[in-house]
Amino acid sequence: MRRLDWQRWLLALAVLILAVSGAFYLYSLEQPVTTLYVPEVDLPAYHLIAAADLMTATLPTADFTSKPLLQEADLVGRYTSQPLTAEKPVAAEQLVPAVDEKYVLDTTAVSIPATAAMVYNGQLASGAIITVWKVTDTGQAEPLLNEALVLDVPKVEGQSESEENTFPYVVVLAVPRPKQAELLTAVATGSLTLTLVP
Amino acid sequence: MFTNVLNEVTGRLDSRFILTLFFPSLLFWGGLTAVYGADKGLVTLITQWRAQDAGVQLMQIIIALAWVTFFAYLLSNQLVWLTKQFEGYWEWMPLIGKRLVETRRKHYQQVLANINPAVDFERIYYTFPFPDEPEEVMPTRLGNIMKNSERYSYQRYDIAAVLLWPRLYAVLPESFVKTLDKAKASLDFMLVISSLSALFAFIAGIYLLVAQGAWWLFLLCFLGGLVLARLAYKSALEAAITYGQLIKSAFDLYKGELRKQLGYEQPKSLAEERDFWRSLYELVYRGEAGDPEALRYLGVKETQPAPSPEPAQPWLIRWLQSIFGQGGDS
Repeated sequence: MRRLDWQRWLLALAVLILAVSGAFYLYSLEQPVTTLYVPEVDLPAYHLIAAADLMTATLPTADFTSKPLLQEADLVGRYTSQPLTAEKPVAAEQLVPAVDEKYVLDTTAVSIPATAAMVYNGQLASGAIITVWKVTDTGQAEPLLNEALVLDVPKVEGQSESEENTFPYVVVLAVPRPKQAELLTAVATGSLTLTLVP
Repeated sequence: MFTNVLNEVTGRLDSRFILTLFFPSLLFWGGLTAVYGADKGLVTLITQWRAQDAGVQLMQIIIALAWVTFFAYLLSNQLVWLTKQFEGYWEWMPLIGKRLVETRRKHYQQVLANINPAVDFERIYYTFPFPDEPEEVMPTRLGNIMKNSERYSYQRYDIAAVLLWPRLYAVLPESFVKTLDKAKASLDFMLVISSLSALFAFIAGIYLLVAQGAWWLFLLCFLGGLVLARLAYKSALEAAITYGQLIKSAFDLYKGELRKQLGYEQPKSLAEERDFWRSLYELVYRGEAGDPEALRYLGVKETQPAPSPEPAQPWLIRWLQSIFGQGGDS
């Protein structure tokens, strides 16, 4: 009968224990992950997201606080409504609602002061499509900007109820680049009004 | 493109070097790269690599092949040391070396003592030093097989194999040398595969533990590497038996050729032959034969070997010369 080589069996057992413990350790660390598109760098508010701003990342699903947008198409061509952190998932609430790409193509965010009447007494909201009118000295209204996307309608900060302000709101619009100068001149010199596009 | 570069590089290297060292090294580094890729996302890495310029890709392939060649060359220089580790020369290991050698040696001494030569002499003949030399038992099976072939010539003819082997090798016929080289290459290949597999298992295992890789990949690499190492070692034992038998045969068949080449008279009996080789050993090693009567010198007719058209050079020098020219020609 062959002599039992207990040292060899001990070594085999040690290797097996090492393998099983290592695998168990890694298994305990394993958690469901999701591969999705995230910003490659920090993005400011009212930034029009381009494909170059994004990267893919595989993140633990358990870390998601709200339902994230997964696909590149869900993000590209949309404005951010708040600053986004690099390599963190993006939720729909952090973006301006999706609209037809003609409203965002070659645009940039421009903010204009607004009265309560201009913003429908606070009812105008992000995602609305509006027409901006310029009222001339003769009282004639002329359309200055057709079908502009409203990115945000924040209230002016530090405004108390008792204080009176002519422009208690700011309307942030996605304005085609060629129209920017004209709009800003109109803001400085004349009076504007807004109408909702049905 | 990759095939062209590979052909270009491998076409210029020795076939034995390629088979025994280059391809195992290529598999080793390829395996480690694959583990890294599997952990980081193989598809993404391949897409990123494909997106690169063809020139950059070629450069990366050349650098990778140069690194593998360099690694294989380093390995070739450590082959003797590596074989010795498989044979059980572990005394260099701090703290545990000597203890390990002693424990394993005792185990195999016990195994040898338990073999009944009348029933199972074949096992002794192929894989152990002879039972009357228990002090020659080595701590590993490979060590014992090699020791068996090393001690055979001494047991049979009083020939000190270690001292006289280089001289005997010089008089072996070319066909025998080729067979011997093939057996040695087979042994080297299996030992290289075994050691690189074990190294792969530990490096990949530690990397996956640190990088928190997939548990199944860890098991596959760690256990798979070690199982492959074990299988390759088992194959190496078979190759070592073949190699050992050839060494033993070399002494049986060509010791007379060596004696003739050295210019001594043929002994008339086995006892005289043993006296002859023992005295020759003393003459070669100490410069003085214990029994000068045993060495009946006839004189030698020295034959000048024909000059080889090109001096034997290491493969690296030949390769560099083929790329950069002989040097000094300008």
